[in-house]
Amino acid sequence: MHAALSLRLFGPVTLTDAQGRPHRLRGKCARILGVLGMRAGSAVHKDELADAVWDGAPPTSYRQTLDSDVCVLRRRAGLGTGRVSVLATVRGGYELDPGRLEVDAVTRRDLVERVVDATSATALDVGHPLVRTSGDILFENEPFWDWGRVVREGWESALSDALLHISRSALVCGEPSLALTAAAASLGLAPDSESATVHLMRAQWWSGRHNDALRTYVTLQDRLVRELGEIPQRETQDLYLALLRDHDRLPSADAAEDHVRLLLTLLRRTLDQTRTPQDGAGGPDTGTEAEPARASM
Amino acid sequence: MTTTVLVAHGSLALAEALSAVVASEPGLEAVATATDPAGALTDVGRIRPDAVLADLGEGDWVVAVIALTKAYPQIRVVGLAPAEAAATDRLLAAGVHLVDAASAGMGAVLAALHAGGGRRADEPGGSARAASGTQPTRSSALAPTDLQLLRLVAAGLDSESAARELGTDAGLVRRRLRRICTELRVESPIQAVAVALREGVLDLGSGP
Repeated sequence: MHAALSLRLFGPVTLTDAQGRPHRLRGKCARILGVLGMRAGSAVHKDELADAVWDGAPPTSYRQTLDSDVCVLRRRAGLGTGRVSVLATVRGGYELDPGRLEVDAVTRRDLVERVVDATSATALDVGHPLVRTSGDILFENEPFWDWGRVVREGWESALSDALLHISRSALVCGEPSLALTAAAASLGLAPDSESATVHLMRAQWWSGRHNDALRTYVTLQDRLVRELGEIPQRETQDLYLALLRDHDRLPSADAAEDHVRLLLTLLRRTLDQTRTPQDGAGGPDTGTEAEPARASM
Repeated sequence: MTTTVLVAHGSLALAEALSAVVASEPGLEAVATATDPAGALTDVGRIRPDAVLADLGEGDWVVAVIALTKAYPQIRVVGLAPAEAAATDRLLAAGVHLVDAASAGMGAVLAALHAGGGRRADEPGGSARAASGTQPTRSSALAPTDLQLLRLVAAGLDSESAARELGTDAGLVRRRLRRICTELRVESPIQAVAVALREGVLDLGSGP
């Protein structure tokens, strides 16, 4: 019966009770479950809990407030009471039981840990759900919560690394399109990461999207020069040169249409200029005879 | 004194047209055309022209042209603007002579090519033509396991991950990579990947 009990911390914080009814939570209750959920399986002292929930500035009556909020949460979702509750009272604080309540953040954190040290085939197997859900935002409805923001940033950095590993694994296993998705997701979470950018280049390269890869490099180089006054690392430059030399994959050069048009104009003008002395018809801007000829080109 | 010019442009038709304009100019000789950034780099290395007239319409060319100025500082590089503002600074810093052909005209482009001076016609390399030269393959000495390792390098795995993948030890992987680099006469594993790709012994598209 307890199998249905679950806590979602990604997106709006939602507690689903044993009957499968979702309770969407905001503010204090969402934050309490957020802190306990991230640390499911271990006791959190009320002082510590209050510090996290109120970002270091709890009200004087925080103990009573926490007690009554927990009481409300237990009743709404039918979590039981006291020491045997899924949200149990323990020495000086509270503890969530991950054995009876599935917490999405805990599940995903386990996946990240399993991915990081795995071989390619395993990383790919285990990592699929991480790629699929990489756009979900931890504590999405609590944007002004400092504790939540710090936890979110830590999570996103760990997820970005894991996605990189998944993407490399996908290349090794011959799944370049998944590699591309994972690399883009990794870079999305860590836009300033050179290693994520470089890996996106690799994934584009393997997918045969040569021009995209070169463009990714140019964008990276521009950003590094502009923001940091640096050039890409040696390894990045080597990869770029390897890409440039990978002849067979270079698509036939198709210059931008505007550019071609400009050059055609230039060539016409040059031909006009070189023709002018023999024709003796004056410059291209004054010669009325040249006008119809140029207009027809 | 004739200045030899390699014309690099993404469109073959326009590269040839630009070549024709260069050739029609006394004192300039169009020795080759290149239509992709990578080809331009290799052709310049082989032909060693006095000057390069390069297209800068796309980012790929910008980076190739900068690489070119680094590799061959003695070659005069004239770039056809417009380039993006951010690229302009980098190009100028690299010593590329940018000519805004749209406003300054083709005459200014030709003048920029002339300004580099030239070399005597009897010097070697003066009238070489671009041809897809075949290089001796160095990578034929690689064992299948070497190629498997290079594939992992191309996927971005470090020696620890590659070792885990191959069920061996990171120290052994590093040693093997050093040997591969020595055999291929390159400095880094990714350069080894590039050589193996170019010589057709490594293919990134297929599965493991």
